[in-house]
This record gives sequence, structure tokens and C-alpha cells, in this order.
Amino acid sequence: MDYTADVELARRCGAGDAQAWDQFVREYRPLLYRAADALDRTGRARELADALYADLYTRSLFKYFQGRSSLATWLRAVLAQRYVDALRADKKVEPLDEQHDTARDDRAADPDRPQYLAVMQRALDAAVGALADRDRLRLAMYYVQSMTLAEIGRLTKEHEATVSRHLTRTRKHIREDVERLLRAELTEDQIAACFASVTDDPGAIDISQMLNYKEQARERSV
Amino acid sequence: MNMEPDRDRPFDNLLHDALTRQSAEAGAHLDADTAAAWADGALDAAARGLAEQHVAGCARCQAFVAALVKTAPPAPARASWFRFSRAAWLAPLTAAAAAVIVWAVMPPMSNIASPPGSGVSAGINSAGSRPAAEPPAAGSPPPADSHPLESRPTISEAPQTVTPSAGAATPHALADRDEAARERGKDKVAPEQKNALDARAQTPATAEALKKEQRADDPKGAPKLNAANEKPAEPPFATFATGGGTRLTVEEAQAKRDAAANARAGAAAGAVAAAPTSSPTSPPAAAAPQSSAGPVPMRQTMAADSFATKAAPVRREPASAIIRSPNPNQLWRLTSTAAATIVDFSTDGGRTWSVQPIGVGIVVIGGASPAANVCWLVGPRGTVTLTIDGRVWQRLTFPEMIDLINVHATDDRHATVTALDGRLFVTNDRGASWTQVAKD
Repeated sequence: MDYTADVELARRCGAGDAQAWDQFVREYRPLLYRAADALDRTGRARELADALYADLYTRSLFKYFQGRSSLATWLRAVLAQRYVDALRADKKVEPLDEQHDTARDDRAADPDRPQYLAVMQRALDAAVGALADRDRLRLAMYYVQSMTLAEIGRLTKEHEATVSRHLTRTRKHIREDVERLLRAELTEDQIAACFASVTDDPGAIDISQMLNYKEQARERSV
Repeated sequence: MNMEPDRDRPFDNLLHDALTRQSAEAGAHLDADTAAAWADGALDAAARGLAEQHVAGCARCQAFVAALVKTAPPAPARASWFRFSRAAWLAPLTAAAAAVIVWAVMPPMSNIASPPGSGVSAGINSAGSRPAAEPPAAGSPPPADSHPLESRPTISEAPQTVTPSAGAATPHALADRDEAARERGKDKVAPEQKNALDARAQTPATAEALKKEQRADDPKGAPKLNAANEKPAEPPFATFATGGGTRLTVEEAQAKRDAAANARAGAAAGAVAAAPTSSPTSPPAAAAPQSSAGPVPMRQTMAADSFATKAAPVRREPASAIIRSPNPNQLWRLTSTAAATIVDFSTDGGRTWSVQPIGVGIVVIGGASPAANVCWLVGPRGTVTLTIDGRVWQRLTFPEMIDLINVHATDDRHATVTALDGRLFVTNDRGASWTQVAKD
């Protein structure tokens, strides 16, 4: 793709061309604000957008734009980068978030639970570590970043149905790997108990259902 | 797959933890310039691979890329080409035409029983493994698998307009109706039937054709009377009055019976079958003997069904078919509509039924139960489903998106399916792999 016009506009803005700057403000400032609103509606991202806008004017950040993408995308990327760095800087002074730390939750009275947690964690780490980069990328974007299938598809240039299919396949692959790894250390009964134990609510045993573990065990016995 | 509801599940949390653990701060981060180029699709394969490799293991860059994607303006909605085309009206018209064709061509469910343990398919069209050129044998008993809960429209119930010019299928239909009346114990033919039979009897070519058909069934030319099918109390065919003073000979009567058997075996697959239904209080016949006529070839079935459809312009109700397992108490009932097939299961010989989910929108054409709790079902577009515990159905992968019409299974691992085009596919590993085999 040819971004020559964007490069020329950035060059002229960096060189202090008032006419170019007016054009930039007219065309790109609304875009920058829209991107900020998409990130955060509390106003935090808007502040960052204003700061970026000021830096572009005073520090001439335009010189870092090399024309490998459109100027609009580059601006969004710079804003997103600053936003993420700001959030991470904030988190460093906040207490650690433990809300999802179910794997290390030892509230249950099950005496075998620590062992099960350790075994499950090892198995999961090994299974995830063995994934291809793109599979792990999709998985992380979905589970860790909570991106939608469409957003992941925009990144990987895939249709969201394709992303969904890959995610399903990857999760199935992880499930099989985890089962295989658990089988090296535990008996079939212990594996079932392990799956039940590492869930937040053992009564629901969603994990067993989702992994179809019992179903498969029954098929094997048949 | 609907991933959204799974987010809160414990396994997802575990997966989240595992992914977070493995997404440590790793090396040089993605810069804005590279990320923007990635988002614009301007990176070459190698650079994109490196970026993906890094982001897959770097929590900070994952967040960065996720934020970048979130800021993307919504993609403009693409208008479908036909919205601007002058041929836009063709879309609903084509759909309607297709629906009519499917409704007219698709064979309805049948109610052909398999002998216990044989695993012979109870297909909608009763398409069997017999060659198409081989006519079915005469004297087949009426299907004994009619269940009290089933209500199938019969040919005598459906208003029909049968004309002598209806073609070669007319004798079959008439004989079938006659046979149905006789089997119901009504040895007197209704006046309108007599008139129709008169017309039939006045056509020498038809009578000759029936004689030829009878000779083909029995090379020796002797009347073949199936003891299992003959009822002493029934009036002999030799004295069967057809109206107008014409009396059929024993051979003609036998030929007519053969024709009726053919037509009935074919039409049994359809909703206009003349099979008698059991009394609501009587239990279904366990281990019903396989019809000596055997499965009717697909073409013949389709022809009979097509004729019946044309002759009886009545909208067909969903028809049911019964698949019997070797255990007489265990039955599957298939009720098909154009959109899906409902599978019911009975463990008490058909007194009570429970619905079993086999999947959304799955249409089933044939099935076979070679063992208790094991049942194979096949249908259009490569549909093969299997249960091995009598409860949970598993959709098996089939290598081609072709219409499957029949299945013959020996157990839960070995099955042979017949495609609409006549090809046979065999699996010996519960559908994990399929091999096309030559027809013998």
C-alpha cells in the first residue's frame, strides 16, 4: 500500500508547515478522539489523546512516522501504546488482582487439592507452552485480553468463524494434552477428582462438562 | 461454537492463569510503527511471524495490540451484490422453487422393520442393498412394526384421483389399494375401487405386464404362495370379483398380489403406505420378521412415491419410521420434517418414548440398530450419527457432502452406508475413517 501522501503530510507538519498542520488537525484530531473514546470512556484516554496531540505539535513526533502504515493507524497505535503503558504504570501501585486466581485458591477442605492444583498447573503450562505462536496468540487475546472473535479476526486477518474454529480446536488440543499429562501422574479416578477439585464451585463441575472428560472416559470403558 | 458463555467457566480461568504465566515481559516490545503496519496488513510474512511470536508470549504487547484493535473504526458494511441487482427478486423465487422441489422429491419416512440383530437399515425409502434390477419377492407380510402411537396416513385415507391414463404405476396403486382393503378384512371391494379395477382389467397390456412380472418372480411359472402371508379365511383369488363379471384366475390374482407387494413395499416408505396399524392396546410385534420382499431398490421406491404424490395431492404429514434393536424393548422412532428429524427412544417396547437430541437441523433418512443401545443414522449431506449407549448421539465425520440413504451395521464399529448415487462406504473404526468399496 502507498502511504506517500501521509508521509508527505507528516513531513510538512514536522517541518512546521501551518497549512499542513491545519489539514492534520481537521482530518486526524476527530479520529484521535474517536480512538480514545473506544479505549476508555472515563476521559483517561482523552487526556492521553490531548497529550499526544500536544507532543505532535511541540516535540514533532512526526519524525517517527516512517510510512509503513497509514498515518491514522500509526496515530491509533501510538495512542494505544501510551494508554496501555499508563494502565500498567497504575497497576504497579495497586494491589494484585486475585479475583481469577482459582488455581491457587486453597479454601476447599480437600486434602488432595494442593496436589491436584500443582499437577493441573503443570499440565496446563505444558499444554499451552506447546502451542503454535498463532494459536497461543488467539487464545491469549480471547481469554486474557477479552477480545471478541471479530476483533481477533481483525488482527489475524481471519473471519470470526475461522477464529472460533481455531479456538475450539486449540482448546480441545489443550484438553487432550492435559488429560494425557495427568494420566502420567494420576489414575482415572484421581483425574476426575482433580478436575472437580480445581474448580471454584465443585458442585457445578463445569470443567468436567466442558472437557467432556467423563463422557470420554465412559466411551473408553465401552 | 459459542465461546462467549464459556468465559466464566473455571477452566477458562485456569487457562487465563496459564496464559498469563507464560506471557511474561519478553525482550524488545512491539513498537507503534510495527504494530500499525501489522494492523494495516503491511507486514511481510516473516515480520508478521516475528510479531506474532513476540506478542503470543508478551503480556504488555498483547494488551497493546488489543487496545490498538479496539480503536479501529468499524468496518463499513458491505452491501450484498444482489441488493443492487435487478435480479434481486430471483432470490426468494429460487428459494421457493427449491423448497417445492425438495418437498416433492424427498422421500418420506418409512416404517420398515429390521429383524433383530440383522442391522438392516430401516431407511425412509427402504433402499436396500439389492440390485435395482432385482424385483422384490412376492408375498411379503404387511409391516408388523406399526406402532400404536404412530398415525400414518394410508392410501385409503388419502383422497386420490386415479385415472386409467396414470401410466404404468396405476396397476400398482390399484392393486395396492385392493390389497390393503383385503388385508383389513374387507373382502368386498368398494364401488369406486371396482370401477377402477374394471378400467384396469379392460387394459390387456396391463394384465400381460402383471403376468410377466409374476413370471419373473417365479421362473417356474407356478403360483407362489407364501404360507406366512396367506390367511385361510380369506377368499381365494380365483373367485375374486373385479366387477363387470370379470374374474381373475389364480395366476392373475397372484400377479396382482405381487404387484401389490411391490407397490406397498415401495410406498411403505411414503406417507401413503397401505400398511395396517396395530391396535392401540396391542403391544408392537416384537422381532418382526423381515419382509420376504426385502428392501426395495431406491429407484423403484422413488417412482412409487412420486406416483403416490402426484395421485394424491395431499400435503404429507411428518411420517415416522421405527428402528428395532435386537432387544425387542428398545426401539428408535424417527419423525422427519423438511427441517429436521426428531428421534425418540423407547425402552419398553414402544409404550413410552423419550426424545433424544441428535443435533440442530439434522435430517435422517435411514438407520440401523445392530445391537442394543447401538444405532446408526444417516442422512443428507454426509450426515452420520451414532449412539453406542442409547442416550448420547455423536455426529461422525463423513468424507463427502453427499446424501446418504441407507446404512447397514454389524456393531458399533462396523457399518456400510449407501449414498444416493449408489456408492458404498465402509467404516471399521466407528466412523474415524471411511473407505469406498465396489458394489458386488
